[in-house]
Amino acid sequence: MSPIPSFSYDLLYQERVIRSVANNTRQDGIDFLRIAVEIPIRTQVQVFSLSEANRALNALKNDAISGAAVLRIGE
Amino acid sequence: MKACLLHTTSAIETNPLEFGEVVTPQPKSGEVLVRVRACGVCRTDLHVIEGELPLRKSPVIPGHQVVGIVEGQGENTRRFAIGDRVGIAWLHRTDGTCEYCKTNAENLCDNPVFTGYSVDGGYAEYIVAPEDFIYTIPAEFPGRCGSPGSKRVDASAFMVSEQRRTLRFRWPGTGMWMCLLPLVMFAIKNWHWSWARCGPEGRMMNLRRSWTPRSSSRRPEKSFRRR
Repeated sequence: MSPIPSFSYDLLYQERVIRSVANNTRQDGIDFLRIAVEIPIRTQVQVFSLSEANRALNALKNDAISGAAVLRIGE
Repeated sequence: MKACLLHTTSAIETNPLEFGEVVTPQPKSGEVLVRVRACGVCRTDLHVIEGELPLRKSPVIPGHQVVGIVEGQGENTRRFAIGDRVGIAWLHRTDGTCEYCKTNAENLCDNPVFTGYSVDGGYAEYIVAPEDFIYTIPAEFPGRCGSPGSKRVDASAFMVSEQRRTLRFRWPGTGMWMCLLPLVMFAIKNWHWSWARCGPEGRMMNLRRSWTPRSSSRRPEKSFRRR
């Protein structure tokens, strides 16, 4: 894994917290989906077909995806 | 069914997934068969493909951010009906018997099985998964379950996981939703919500690009700067 790059401290000032977690429990997922509905969450995706998976992976690796790369599969 | 297969680990540029036909999986007891509508492309997929995670199954179908429609059920299933829209995440199943599982910390299970890594994932037309580890996608998300219009919703669901990576340091926490939860709760309770395209959100997007760990040794050349 690559090191964590540095960033401006003012992004963490005022008691903001960044924490890591290990995977998630099922209850975590259920809770989050409920909250996601309430917020609601707006998403930004870049869609690829299944056959374009390699192109999507290369784009992700090279930071050429704005938002999330998603494979759309089937009709 | 059509699927993308990973045979060996190496850099994605020289080690593309094989796109081809494989046998459609059949659900075993307690499992459901899901027709995949969308699958997020996660950086953990790159970790798997490029060998930063040791290969556990070969060939394996990557992908662990799956939204699809229940199309079949094995024996002893009860939770879902045919046609339900569901989500399948990184944690495919746990042993349910270790101390972590017994203490509501199954995310730390001693013997976890991971989607798209230990078992076949969502870069395919179909996937099977234990119904106990499958999520119901809330009906409140736009689009109707099973309708063509819901594809957009399916795709949108995965932005969640990518947004999560904005502030994710840890590896390999690749469950698709949970890393975001503390961030969401924190933002709501304390100050502005910042997922708009400008202002703080723009900085966060910038942050993601600087912080997102590469699967290879390459690193971003520029350091993070505020807009």
